[in-house]
Amino acid sequence: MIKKILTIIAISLTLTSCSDWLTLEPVDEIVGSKYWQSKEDVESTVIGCYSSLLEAELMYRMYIWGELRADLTTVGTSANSSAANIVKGEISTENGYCNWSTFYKTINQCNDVLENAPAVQDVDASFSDELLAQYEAEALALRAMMYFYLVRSFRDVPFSEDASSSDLQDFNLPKTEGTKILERLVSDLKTAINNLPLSYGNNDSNKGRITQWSAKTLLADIYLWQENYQGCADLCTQIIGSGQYSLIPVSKEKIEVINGASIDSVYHVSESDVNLLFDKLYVTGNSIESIFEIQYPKTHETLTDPFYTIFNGQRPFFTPNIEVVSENIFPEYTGDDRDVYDIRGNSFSYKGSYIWKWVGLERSSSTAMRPLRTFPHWIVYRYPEVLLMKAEALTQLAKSDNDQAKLKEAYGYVKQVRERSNAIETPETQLDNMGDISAASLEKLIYDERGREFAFEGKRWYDTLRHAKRDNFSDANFTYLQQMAINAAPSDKLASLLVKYRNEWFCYWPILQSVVEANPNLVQNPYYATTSK
Amino acid sequence: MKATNYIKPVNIYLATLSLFIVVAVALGYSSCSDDLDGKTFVVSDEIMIDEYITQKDPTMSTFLEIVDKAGFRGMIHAYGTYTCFIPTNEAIDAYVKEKGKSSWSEFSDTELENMVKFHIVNDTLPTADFVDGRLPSPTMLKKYLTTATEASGSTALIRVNRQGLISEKDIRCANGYINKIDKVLTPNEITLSGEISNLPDTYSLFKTVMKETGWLDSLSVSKEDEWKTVFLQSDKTFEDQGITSRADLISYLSSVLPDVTSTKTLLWTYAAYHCSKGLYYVADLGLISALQTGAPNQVLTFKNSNGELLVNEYINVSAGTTEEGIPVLKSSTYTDYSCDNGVMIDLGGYVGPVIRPAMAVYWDIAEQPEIVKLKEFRKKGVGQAINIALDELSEMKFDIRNTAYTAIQYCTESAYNSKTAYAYYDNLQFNFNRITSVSMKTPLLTEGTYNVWLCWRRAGYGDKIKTIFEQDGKEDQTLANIITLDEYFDTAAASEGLLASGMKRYSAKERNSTMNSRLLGTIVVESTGRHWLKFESINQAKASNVWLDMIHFIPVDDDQLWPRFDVEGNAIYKGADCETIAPTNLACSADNDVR
Repeated sequence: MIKKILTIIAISLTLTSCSDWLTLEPVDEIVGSKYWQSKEDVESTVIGCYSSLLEAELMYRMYIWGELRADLTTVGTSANSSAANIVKGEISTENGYCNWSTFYKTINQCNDVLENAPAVQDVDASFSDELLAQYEAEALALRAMMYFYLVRSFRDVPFSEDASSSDLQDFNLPKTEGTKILERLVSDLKTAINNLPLSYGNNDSNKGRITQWSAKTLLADIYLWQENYQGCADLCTQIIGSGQYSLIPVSKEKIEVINGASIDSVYHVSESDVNLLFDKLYVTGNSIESIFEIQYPKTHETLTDPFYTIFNGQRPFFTPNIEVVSENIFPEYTGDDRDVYDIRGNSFSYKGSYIWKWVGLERSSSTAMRPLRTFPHWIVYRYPEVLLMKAEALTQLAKSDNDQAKLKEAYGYVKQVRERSNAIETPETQLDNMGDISAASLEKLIYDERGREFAFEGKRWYDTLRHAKRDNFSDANFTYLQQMAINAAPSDKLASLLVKYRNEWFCYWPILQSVVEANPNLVQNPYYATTSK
Repeated sequence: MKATNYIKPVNIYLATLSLFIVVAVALGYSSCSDDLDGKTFVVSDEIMIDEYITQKDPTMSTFLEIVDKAGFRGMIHAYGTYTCFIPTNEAIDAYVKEKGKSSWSEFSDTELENMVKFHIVNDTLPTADFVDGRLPSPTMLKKYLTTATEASGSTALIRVNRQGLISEKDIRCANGYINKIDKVLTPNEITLSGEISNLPDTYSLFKTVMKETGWLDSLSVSKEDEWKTVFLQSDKTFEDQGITSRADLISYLSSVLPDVTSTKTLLWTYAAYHCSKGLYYVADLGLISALQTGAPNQVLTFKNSNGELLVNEYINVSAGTTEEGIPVLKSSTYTDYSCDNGVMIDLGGYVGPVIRPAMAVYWDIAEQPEIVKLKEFRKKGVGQAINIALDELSEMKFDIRNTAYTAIQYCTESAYNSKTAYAYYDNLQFNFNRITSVSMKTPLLTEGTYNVWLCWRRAGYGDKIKTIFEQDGKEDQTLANIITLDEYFDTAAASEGLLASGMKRYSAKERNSTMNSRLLGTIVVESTGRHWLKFESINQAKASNVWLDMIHFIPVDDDQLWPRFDVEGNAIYKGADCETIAPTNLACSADNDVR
């Protein structure tokens, strides 16, 4: 399978005339009708859809849209002004990072499969209904994933179901409301799930192609965004019960430490286990806790490593916001023992000015990945996300009636994630010490825990927005954006950013100006429509 | 029939057509280019600010007429870097009416000139570069404009100088930006004195004191290029400190300034402490660590913390206590309040003069904010050398000779060794062959005269180091002694004798020739604050690493020899039992108290 992706990449590389790696296209976008002759042709087009995810620009946006407006990542000295302006909350309609074209490229390829695959049955008798349904399901689910990124980032976007030979502007599509798109994605995914395999028979394909489980994870995530908490919790229950995934354990040794006037029972983790965990999750990839990863080849002669470009080098583009990460996200143990630490902190998620998850070759050394040699996968979903999605859904369900059974169950999932990582206990994390668990405190803990667990994995801004937009951006939820602004904004931009965050539309990205200009039916995000020139 | 100023349709057509060509060409060329760099196609390449108004937007034409009359047309027609805030014709009409005139032409030439100058900043500032508070550059009238973001319908708008809103922003012209505004901007012509008098009754005690001490009078003086910044305190902030009357304030002041007996001087000092020379908006205060006040040798200190700007946070290292900082009320009406001769800043709590005695500071230089956060910081029983990139250290500045040198090392010792008995087992490793100079931000030093000692492990090939003490706004002080970093500590001589030659022992457990401390010289700290100490390599000796451990700032009248420091970082005083000196299980050097 992987070999096939590589072959396609290799072919496509020879086809690209432009030497600049940024315009490198992993696959030739759309193939002519001549091509649709056999089920093998269909399969390679489906694989082509996955290969299109390897485009560096796509991964940049998954990172930037998910992190840069939030508080964990900041820009290094070498970052361009477009990136620096995003951190400052100054996003113009000409900011190149608003460009969504790579997402539509993948969507278009999925549409191509959906449009042309059925007819292949007429020319290839061996192409079974079942296999056709599976390919269509893969395309539907992958398309849903792309649209879900777009809806979370832009809210309302053009929804295209047609394969075009060039691009989406052919149709001059207007925007469709985000809520409507999500409803459609839900029904698409429900259809897809019925036809997707549980397994492709090998581990790499199970993590790199859409299975029933990854489609269910995506659907659970969409439900969470839609505030359909029961739907989300039910799907998570299925995934947890599937036995397909588990947390990679880290062994610990219990010790007692004097902490002020009391004696704490704390743990020392096995360093070698932590090193191994880092290797399995981020270096080797496709681990037992992985659900869906974009499968960058481990080594490649010519494909440029997007991770190296933005996270490595002497002056990385994006660097950890150390003050926030080391103080707010990973609080230190207050007792006198520096060996008690959250394994996800320093040296794991980040190391100095590096986002180590994406460039570290080993946790224990400072050896970073090198260009063109080794590069990691981009992780879209990992098992802890299912646990924490379920916790979040249960907490929201319990909010109205303070259902302690649900809250207790939710807290249990959070603890499962925390215990594996030897998370440091603070008053905010110990919720069951005094009787009832407060839903509000648990909601905040889950949000914080996601910050720790998925630091730099393209989730933080979406987490913040999901909480802030709940109940129609209610006043009570503004604290999420407020804290984000305090943590992330330069102090001389804080006051203006707090004003802007009061506007729902500011929380979404503008559409790139040139795209608006090219499509007369496309209306700019109203926040940016009047103020930008 | 009304005459119009519009250009003929055919011209518009041609102009538009040529724009398309520019765009098309640009797009053609850009197919291989990096689209990360933000797609800014400057389509108005050839259009100057005045041309934009005449050709594209006649709703700003009146301002252009005024510009003509005031003689600035040539300027905004020429290449340059301007940011213009241009009021609409309606806005100018409204302003004219408000001033009781029938036409703008009734204003004097000077009035018109000043009006134009106040709307133009001689710098190209996209609105993305605006900060909360004042603009990064002043207007041509040499006064600053302030900006603030306000919610407005489906979007947010920028209000300028508390007056006009920007209705169209960042109109890019060949020689700068236009921001269209809906009000004429006028500088506040009321002085600080006038505005303090105008403050509401909730500032009554502050007003009383400013008036009584005569500061109100001096703040009424308005001279070109002479600015003052006044830090306000509301009655509420006094009450929080238990001060509800002038008498309370006097008794409070006399408790913190015991040497001052005259009531008049006490109040004057308080008032003077709230007035600084120079124009400091919040944006400026966030960048400085200390500001000289009108009270002799009294400073205000500033620190950014979690989105707040704190004044006078004071950490007493030896006592282990902290006086919490007072936040500047950034969103108060009276913060960043421009006046004719300065600006007002509103404080969120009581801030006043205080005399702090000069106090020894024993500084372990590894206590850099970025290093303290490392997991490896002072990790016990581990020997390590961790690279810290030079530009990662916010409180150190480097000049380097060799660009390959990009990091210093934070080093720790795994076990006790008398030859490497660093305080807290840690040190910073530098290479003075590669570095031309390194400046370190000192801990807070209280006003006074200090001897400065460098404590290090000798090494290398004879690096010679010169030291310079730098305080903002003061002359640099070059310290008297040049020291040689490979010099051994003299283990044979008695402490008192060595002291005369500027050498001392600082490691407490054992005497060893490798652990050395040298007097760099004497500095006068003129105002309490954090300053800079710069080490310059004067001979760029052969490449080798040296390990710097501590710097002692000891008031000249205090004991220079004691305390010494053990490997746990404890201060050890003369006569301490060997068992109390870490590592406690090992024996000490004989005659520890004498040599």
